[in-house]
Amino acid sequence: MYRLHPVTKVVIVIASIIVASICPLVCLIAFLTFVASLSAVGMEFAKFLRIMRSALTIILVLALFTLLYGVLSTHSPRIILEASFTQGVIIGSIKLLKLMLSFAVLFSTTRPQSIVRMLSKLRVPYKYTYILVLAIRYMSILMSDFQEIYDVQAIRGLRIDSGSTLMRIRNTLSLFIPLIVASTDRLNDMSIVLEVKGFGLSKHRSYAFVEKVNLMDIVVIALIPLVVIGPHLALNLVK
Amino acid sequence: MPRDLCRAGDAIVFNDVSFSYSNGFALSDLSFTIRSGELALIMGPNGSGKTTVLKLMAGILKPSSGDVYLCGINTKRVKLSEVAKYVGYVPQNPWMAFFNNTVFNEIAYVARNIGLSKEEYEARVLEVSTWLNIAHLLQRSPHSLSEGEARRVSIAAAVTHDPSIVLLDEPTAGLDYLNKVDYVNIVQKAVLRRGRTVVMSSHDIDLLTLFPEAKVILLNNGRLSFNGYIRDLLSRAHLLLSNKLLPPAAIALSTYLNELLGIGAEGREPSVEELIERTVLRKDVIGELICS
Repeated sequence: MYRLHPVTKVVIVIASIIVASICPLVCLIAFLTFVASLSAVGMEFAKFLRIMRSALTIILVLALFTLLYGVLSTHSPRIILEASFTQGVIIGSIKLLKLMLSFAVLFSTTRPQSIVRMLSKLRVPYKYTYILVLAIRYMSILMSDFQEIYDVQAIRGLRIDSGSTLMRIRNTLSLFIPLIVASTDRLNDMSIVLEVKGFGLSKHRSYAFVEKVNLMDIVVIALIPLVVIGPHLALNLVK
Repeated sequence: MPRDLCRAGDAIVFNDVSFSYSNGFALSDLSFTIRSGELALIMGPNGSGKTTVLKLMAGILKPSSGDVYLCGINTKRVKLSEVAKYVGYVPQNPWMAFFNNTVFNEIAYVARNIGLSKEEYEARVLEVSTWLNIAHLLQRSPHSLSEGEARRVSIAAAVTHDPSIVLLDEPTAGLDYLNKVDYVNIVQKAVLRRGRTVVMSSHDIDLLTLFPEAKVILLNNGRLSFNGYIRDLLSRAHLLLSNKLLPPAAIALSTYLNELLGIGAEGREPSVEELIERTVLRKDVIGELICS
């Protein structure tokens, strides 16, 4: 996956969105298997397992809440036994897993600079691509700031899981207000640094290294329609 | 758990403590004790594990093996919110903790959390803010404070609930010498003189001269390099150098002069007459040193 051109990975993401929007279950499963196999083979297996574990946890929680919402809104636990309802939850979960996996693969195997270069080739203004890259890079900083704030507030006796609703909201604010303040400070520093470095003065950019499309990219892109349409056609032929 | 539990005996005990992060950095087999009422400096170069040790002391991190005892209580067996009753934590960046609308509420936050009555915490806030000369700031927003004011408020917020142990993470980072001296005075006034145990993590070597009675725990690469008092550490200035820390200028000069005059080379202190004789013999070098 690391060797694939960023455009190939973006094509996988776009295909993933299209398949999730319009394709039937069999195509969904086929495409999910394709992306999962590519990821399992093309990146560190531990990393792949970590991505799958996180995605599955989120999906499981969402699925459980959807089932719970179904039960509460119909006032009947029998809704879980309804084939259409359960099928809907399963299909939704598969779509979500496929989208999460595609995006996770794109962002965890592509360097931000590669995304910038790719978007520049697609004539997206550098200013906007840089905003995207900063946002990607900023996630890890945000997470580490959040952890630090959480630790500091925890040692100050913060309890998010107990007390009245008002108290819980107040306690949650104790995490987000310092995070917003720290982030604003950091963004202010960053904008000063960019201005001092003359960001945006030159319209023309050159790159020391440019990724090239290779045979593997062509094979993967060619496989996408086969994987999506193939099982659907095969199923129709059998019928 | 009574908040004054720890006013005698051992305040903090590290018993063969090891800890590792997922990125591979590890602390290994740390064992030391900090007595109640003592001031301890956790020192070491960047990346030596100072903040990790402080977080283990605060109960934020739990050791992978070994035990950390705060006032005789194993941190593995208590909730962090329980530890808050007898530990005050001053973060390196005060703004990481501020979220209340006024300085008063910020200072009273922990005292409220641990269940002090309104009368009790109001009296404590007033008392602490008077010690720290921040009583005039109580109705201001914490986000409108200057760096120095924010640091004072941060200390006040950590001591209002009268904890037995106060932990300060890199308290003098970014301060010039005079502000450091001012900060030391605040710590002595608000914390040390009231019999609390104070632990500071820092790589600021000036603290050694500002707190001459302190205990020093010197770390290097996650291991304990020295555990003792400043006077013992300064008499072995090479230990600081081998741990990537420059000794304070006065100590460096004194060590240089001792070597120059051969003090301690014979394994005994020279007599006054011998010292005068050696100084006269090397007066050229000493004169040059003073001139330069």
